[in-house]
Parts: sequence; structure tokens; C-alpha cells
Amino acid sequence: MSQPEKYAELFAAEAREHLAEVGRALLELEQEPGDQGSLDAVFRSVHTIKGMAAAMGYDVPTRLSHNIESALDEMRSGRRQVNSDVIDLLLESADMLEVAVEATVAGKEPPDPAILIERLVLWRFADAEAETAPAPVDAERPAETASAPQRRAAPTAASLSDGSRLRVDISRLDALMNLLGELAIVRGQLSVLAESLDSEALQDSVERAGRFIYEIQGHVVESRMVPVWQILDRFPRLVRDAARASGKEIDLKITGKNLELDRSLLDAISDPLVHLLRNAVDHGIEPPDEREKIGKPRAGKIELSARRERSRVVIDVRDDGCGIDRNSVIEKGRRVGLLAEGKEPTDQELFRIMARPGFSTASKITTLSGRGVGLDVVENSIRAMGGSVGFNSEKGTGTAFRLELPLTLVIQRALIVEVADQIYALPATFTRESFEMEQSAIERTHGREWIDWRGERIPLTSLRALFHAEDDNGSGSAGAGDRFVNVVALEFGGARVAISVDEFRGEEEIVIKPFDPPLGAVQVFSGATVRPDGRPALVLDAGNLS
Amino acid sequence: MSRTVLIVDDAIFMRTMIADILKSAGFEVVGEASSGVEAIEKYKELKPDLVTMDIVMPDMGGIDAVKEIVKTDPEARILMCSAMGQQGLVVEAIQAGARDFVVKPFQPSRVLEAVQRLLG
Repeated sequence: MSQPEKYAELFAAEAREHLAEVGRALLELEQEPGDQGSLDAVFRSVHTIKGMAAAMGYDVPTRLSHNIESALDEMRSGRRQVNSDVIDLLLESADMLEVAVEATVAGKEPPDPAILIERLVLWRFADAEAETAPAPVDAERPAETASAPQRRAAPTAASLSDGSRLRVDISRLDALMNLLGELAIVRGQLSVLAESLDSEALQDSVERAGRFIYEIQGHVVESRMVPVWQILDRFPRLVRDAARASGKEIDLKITGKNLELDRSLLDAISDPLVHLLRNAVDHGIEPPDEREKIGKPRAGKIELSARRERSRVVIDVRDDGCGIDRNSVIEKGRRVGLLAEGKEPTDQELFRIMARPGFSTASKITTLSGRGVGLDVVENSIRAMGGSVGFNSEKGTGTAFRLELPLTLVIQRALIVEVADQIYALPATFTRESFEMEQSAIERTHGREWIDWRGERIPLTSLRALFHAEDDNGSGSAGAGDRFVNVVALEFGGARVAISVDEFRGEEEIVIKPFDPPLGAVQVFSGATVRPDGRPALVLDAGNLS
Repeated sequence: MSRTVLIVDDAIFMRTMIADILKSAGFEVVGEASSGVEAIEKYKELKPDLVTMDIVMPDMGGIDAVKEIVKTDPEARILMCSAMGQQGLVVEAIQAGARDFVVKPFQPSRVLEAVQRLLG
């Protein structure tokens, strides 16, 4: 890499982290306008960007950051006060700076910052008399030299300055992961071969190679993990802007920021989460006056929490807003034929109806307007990752969404099952328990089969019947003559179902290949995988098995 | 023997750039620090012939770091690296014991000139 290229890359990476820090600290500052620590953090990051941009000879980013810095200095010196208007101006400037940085790095012409710079200058020289200056924080001394304890070191800066870390292009890790997947398949083939040759020495070697592959996979998976704050930290700004635009007051609480997720998953969950948060702000939380009238605090609450549960990641988004009017949805669902008459839908079914593309836009029910917008997008993208969306809403008290996701996209643990001589894989994200039970314990009512699982009555679906894999004798039910039946209990988005299969074939790490099902096929597969013997197996999508 | 340098700046980008300039002129970069606190520790440990010091940094800025370093070693040779618009701070840094300053964006020739003068 040439010198200039090396610098440009370093500049881009470091500037991005500082821009993220600027956005984060500005919002913190808006929450606590007197917080010198946040103000200093914004100043330092903008200042660093300015110095770097100047060194690179990037004119627009240099001028813009210089003017942002000057505006910040007015507040640090105590001459001007922090308020929402100036935060708006600064956020807008930071956005522009980000655009300018990215454009410049990409060798493109950055947008003209003249108007924004003029606004920053005008703000500085505007009559500040109306504002009462807060007590200056040691105005004699520049704040950057103040040795007041830093409330927190910017995590970004820490990770950057750690000499034992390095940045790697994600596409290299993707390539490594894919090659490992292929290698795992070859190993499986070798293992089958070794067995057929009956060579113990060969079997031993293949076994050892397998252990190393497994270990390398573990390391690659680990190295792809990034903390979720990398996307969650953008949300306070998003919610703030949406709230301001709709005249609502919102208290956003985010927990579980340090949870680590596969990089590709992280990118993929960003949009669905944005949809859910926007929906919560626009349609969930009521206007402050309305909330007051019904005895709720003026500021609505939105909680986003991320956590790891065994081999899956669970992300909850809940609001304490108006909730969803079940009756309106049911009525609408019946009118457009999505819901049978006389049937009381579960929350999950309600969600399915709302997630239908165009459900809400076709509706004139105002309390629902827009509620469905994006829900289909949310569901489709989460399902594409092998995850599920759970939903729960109570009219008047709020709405909760639960996203469940596998830890990584490429390699997943799966339960291998056999149905009518075909092999299928069930991702461990959804499987709760596999067991054998007596046929006589299956209850048959309303044309469905039910079983009792851990004290709960859950529906049982026969995969054999689902796949129309009838036996020669015409019996549709799996091994109807047998006394025992093999059952897997599944859970997704809070819903529990069971499926019956012919045989269990143990657990395996499978490499999932994306898959487009043929038109008209049963929509219960989320992908395909190649088995050690080289034959393909379909990956079952638990979310569609109910 | 080549002269040793400690580079203090919170941006890796800046540290890399300064290091490249100095290395090309035959200096040995013995250490880097990203904050004032770290600069003081590294100075005690490495006893470099020269320190380049940024002004605005988290965890103690450059001016306080200069004061602390000069307190323990009055002979310390520190070159301040300031950005545009920090004249006031540069003066303060010189009063605190820094020997000279360069302004970002750096001209390699200007940096080397200042360094030679300082060590000469």
C-alpha cells in the first residue's frame, strides 16, 4: 500500500469513529446541557477530525470541522448556552461532515458546506443576550487541559489505540468462513471415504483434521463478532429526531450494548430495528397531552434490550404506548379474507396479518395507519437470517416485539432429522427438546393433533403429512402403526409447536447456503446445506411450521 | 546512535504521519502515547531525547502533560503539535516548558527543522 493510500485509509477509519462519538456525545449533551464531559468529548473528536483532515489536505472537512469547533468553543467558554436549537445545528453539521468525509475519501466532490458554515458563524455572532450564560466552568483555563476525571474513555478511541488489534476487511472473514464451510464438507466426504476403506489410520487423521477445522471455525466466528453498540448507538439520535418531528416526548432506554454479534447479522438487523423504533415513535407512543389525559407520564417509554440466550440472540423492543386495537385488526383481517370467521387469532397470527404487505395502507382505520408499514420488511429480513419475530400487544398499555436470531449466519448448530428417507436440518435456534413419546399420548381434536409438553398443550405437526410423503400403504401419518413417535418441540417468537419426524440423526454444525424455493413449493425451508456424504439437505424454517 | 522520540497524539493517523516523517530522517520512534497520562508514564519509562506533544487529548491534555514531565525532568525536550487557532494554548505550553511548536497540517521540512533545532 502506498503512503497516501495508507494515510487515507487510516484517516477514514479514525474519522468515522470520531464522527460516531460526536453524534453520541451531542445527544448526551442535549439530555444534560450542563455536562462539560460530553461537551469536551464532542470538541475533542471534532478537533481531531479537523487536524487529520488538514493533514490530508481535505479542504471541505477541514473548514467544516473548524467551524463546528468554533461553535463548540462558544459553549465551552460559557459564552453561549447549550439548547436544542444549537444541538440541531450541530447534529446537522456533523451529518454534513460525515458526508464530506466519505465523499472526500472516495475521491468524490463533497457537497458545498458554505450555507451550513454561514449558519454556524451566524449562530456564533448572534445576539446571545437572551440566553443566560451558565456558570462558566473554569473559564480561565481551556477545558481540554482541565484534569477533571473523564467520565468515560471513548471505547472507539481505546480500541483504536490498542496496538495488538488490527482492522480487517469483512470480506476477507467472509471468504475465510465460506472456505471453512467447504472444508468442513470435504472433511465429511473424507470421513465417509475413510470408513468405506476401513482404514483406521485414515479415519484417525480425518478425525484430527476435523477437530482443527472446528477450532479454526470457532476462532473465525469469534473474530467476526462485534459489539451491538456499533449500531445501537445510532438509535438515540434516530428516536430523538423522530420524536421531535412528531411532537412527542420519548425516553429511550437501551440495554445489552456489549452483547457481541456476527458482523453480517449486525448489519442485517439494523434496518428491522429502525422500522420497529420508528413505528413505536410514530404509532405506538401517544402525544404528550393525550398521555397526560389518560394518566400516563408525558414522556413515552421505549425499551430496546439485547441479550444472549443459549445459542440465540434475543432483542426486545417494547413501548408503553397505545398498543394495537385487536378488534380493528381482526375485523379488517376478516374483511379482506386473511382471517376465518369466528376464529380468535393469537398474537402471533395477529402479527402475521399485520405483516402482510399493504395490510395497513389499504386500511382506513386511523389507529392502525402505518402500523403495518415495514412489518413485512421486518419479518422477511429476520426470517431470511433464520430468525423469528414475536409480537405481543395490549390495547392501551403498549406493544412489544421480540426478535430471535442465531449467533452467526453461516454456520449453525442443527438437529438432523429424517422424514420419508430424506434428511432435514432444524436450526438449534428454535429446537427446545427432542424426545420419543407414546402414540397414545397424542390428543386429536378439531382435526389437529396436540401433545402435552412441559405442562403446556401444543399443536403437533407431522412432517410426513406436511410433505405429503405418503407411505406405500397410503397412510399419511408417520409410522402410524408404531407405538412410539419421535417429536421435536420448537419455540419461536414465544410460540411453541411440536413436529413429528421419522428418525433423529443427531446434532451437527451445518453450513447454510441461501436457497430460493421453487414456486409453489411448501414454504417451510430457509436454506439448504450439504451433508458429509455430499448429498444436499433442506433446512427447515421453524417459523413456518405452525 | 540515532536519537529517540516519543510521539504523543490521540489520533493514530497523526502518530503514523509524525512517525513516518521522523523515521525517514533517521530518528528512532521508541514509543507512542494517546493521552497526557500515558505520555507521562512512557516518558519516565523510555527517557526519549524528544517528545512530540498534541494539545487536545482525552485523559489529560498536552499542556498539563508538559508541566508534569518538566517537573520530573527539567531538561525534557518537548515539541508541541498544535492545530490552527490554538495560538493562545501554544503560548501557554511554551510557558509550561515546551521548547517549540509546529502547526498542523505538518510540513515535513518544518517538523524536521524544529526537531533539529531542538536537539542541536
